[in-house]
Amino acid sequence: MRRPLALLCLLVVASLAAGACASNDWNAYGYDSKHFSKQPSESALTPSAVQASLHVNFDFVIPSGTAGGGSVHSFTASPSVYNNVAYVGGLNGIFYAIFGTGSSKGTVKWQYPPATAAAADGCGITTQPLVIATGSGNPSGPGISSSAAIVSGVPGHTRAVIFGAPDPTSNGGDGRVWALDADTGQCIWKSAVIAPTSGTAKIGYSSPAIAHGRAYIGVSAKHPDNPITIGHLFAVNLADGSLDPAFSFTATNGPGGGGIWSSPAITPSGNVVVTSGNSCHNSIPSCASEPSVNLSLSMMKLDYTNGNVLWQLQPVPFALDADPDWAAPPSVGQVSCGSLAMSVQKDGYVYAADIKTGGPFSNPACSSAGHSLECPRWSFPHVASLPFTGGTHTDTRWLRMPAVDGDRLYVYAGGPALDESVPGHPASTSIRRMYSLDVCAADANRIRWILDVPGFAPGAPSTANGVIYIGSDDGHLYAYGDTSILPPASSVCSYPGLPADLSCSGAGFQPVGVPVQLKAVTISGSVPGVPAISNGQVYIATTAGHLIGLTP
Amino acid sequence: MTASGINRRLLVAATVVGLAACRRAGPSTTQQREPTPPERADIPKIARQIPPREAIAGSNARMALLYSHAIPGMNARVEVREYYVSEGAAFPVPVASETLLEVLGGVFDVQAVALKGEQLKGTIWAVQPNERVVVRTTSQMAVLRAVSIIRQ
Repeated sequence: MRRPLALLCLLVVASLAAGACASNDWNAYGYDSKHFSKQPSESALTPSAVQASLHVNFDFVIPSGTAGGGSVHSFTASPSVYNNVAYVGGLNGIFYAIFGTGSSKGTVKWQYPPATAAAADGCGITTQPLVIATGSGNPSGPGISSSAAIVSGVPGHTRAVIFGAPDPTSNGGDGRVWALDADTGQCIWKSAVIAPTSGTAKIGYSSPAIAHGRAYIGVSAKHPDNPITIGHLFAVNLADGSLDPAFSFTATNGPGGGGIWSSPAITPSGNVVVTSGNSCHNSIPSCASEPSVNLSLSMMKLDYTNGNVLWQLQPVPFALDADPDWAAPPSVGQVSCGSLAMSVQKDGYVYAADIKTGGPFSNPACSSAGHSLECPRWSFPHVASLPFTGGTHTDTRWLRMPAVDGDRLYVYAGGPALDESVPGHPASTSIRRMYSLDVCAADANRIRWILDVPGFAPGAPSTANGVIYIGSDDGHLYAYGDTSILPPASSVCSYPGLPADLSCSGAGFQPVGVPVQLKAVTISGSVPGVPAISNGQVYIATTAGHLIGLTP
Repeated sequence: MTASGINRRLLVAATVVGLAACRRAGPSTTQQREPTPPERADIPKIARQIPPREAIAGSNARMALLYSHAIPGMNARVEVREYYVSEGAAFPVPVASETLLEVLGGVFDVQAVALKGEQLKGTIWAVQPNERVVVRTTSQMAVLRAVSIIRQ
């Protein structure tokens, strides 16, 4: 009887080992440094369970008054989850670890800075919140809006929590990267200053991407576009918080431009992909001509060792810059037709670029004088020629990170109405219109379905088991079923808003599905970030200062 | 072989099987991790001059003249201009003739005879010659298109 038992043990251990390939934790913004926002190891959150009973399991609220840290009691960062504990920092300057399960669910495991302290810790902090004194930078301040990454590899600590935040003990909030012990909340290190308050930059929404024992993180404008800042990306050694001097990325040699509002991603072979903000054009009166180094308004692949540009996609040229920052972080990884970096620019155009091996790469077809630019694999809507030579490319607020499930991309975008119009009828676009795109299909078959998410400016999507989770600004967490697992609820023309007197196919478009809504759960506040999915629970952080867990 | 020896062998075997399953589960064994397809050759190169955006002195705006065309039969010409106005101070829009104004992007707080308050993309209105039109951008940047009929 010993042999069959041993065989059974072997199978169980092998099964566990295989399961460990994909973590059921949600260790970083967008699940991991690929930013697919997909939980691949989820069993409890099935479509039927979500539809039947998804409900609020716990609801932590930032305390009122001084116990709640700084004056802005709000979350714009997204939670990360490790071992059923949710980790997220608030604009109040307090970083929280909140129990997600058990009898203590919804309560504070630890907070940093602590509520009480006898003396300053090794990072010089007693109880003062991590806020910047002046120059909060959009809703990315005054406290923490950088989502955390939970990492191993910090000596002496099983797991560490890595994020960017102001240092209140340093010139009114110099920006640094912080490492806290995930179990105790003890400060392990704070990095050298990467965004001094004496300059024009701060750490905004950029969340660290982890690879090669380093955290890659960017800085953006302290006062958005007033003045615009010079974008920089840094590599911080996880071992001790020191800056890697070999890695250097500066977006321009002009007076400003290329701020990193987004979070970098890591390619399958370990290089860095990042998107960048506006150039100095229109933002700095003295900026009359294009700087010779202009890495603004771009999606770029960088050499992880030194920050060198391996390719640059820059669809909107300097002369047409009317504020279409590339603020949405890229989603980067393997799909059935290759390895793609995908993101949406603020003007509503979606681009997918082949990551490629090595570099530098450029294609004269998509370059212009003085530039070595790449072509995308595809754009949505299809653009015949790049860079643009016309059109209005401005801040239309398409800035949410997409989610990716197989070849299915879920992304808010402008869609066909950006560059097509039906005579006599104005184009119809919306920042709450989510498209599911087949990233490997031909342009004509790109759109899988279209969903107008309730609310005005809903948050970024995440997914597991074909269910798509979206926190909106109308006070709901929504769950929808992808049309690959459930029939669509209805259909809509791929050019939404087409007048009733025109047939969809007759006008050159095609009917596509609308995914079925499985659940709408009432929550407090809006959710600009990504819902985290871990061990049968959806975690969301809201602008009303709530961290909420939802289970079937 | 002792029981502990058997256990050690089982543990090693389980680890090997698990890692093999892990490798099979990942897509990296079925395709190159970052394949490099040939550069696209189907994108036409369009050479078109982008009209310069001239800074307007004393303001936080730039202007581009996109199109100008004479209409001899009307003894007039039509002009299409775009104004790119950064957030901040109010900008008086030059209106010397009958003009259609359209918000192309961003948010303008508009003070005009026929229109007041915040206006978004898609708002179109007509203004009369020498009418006072003041816009103030309340987003970071807003774009206004002006189509004018200018009598000679």
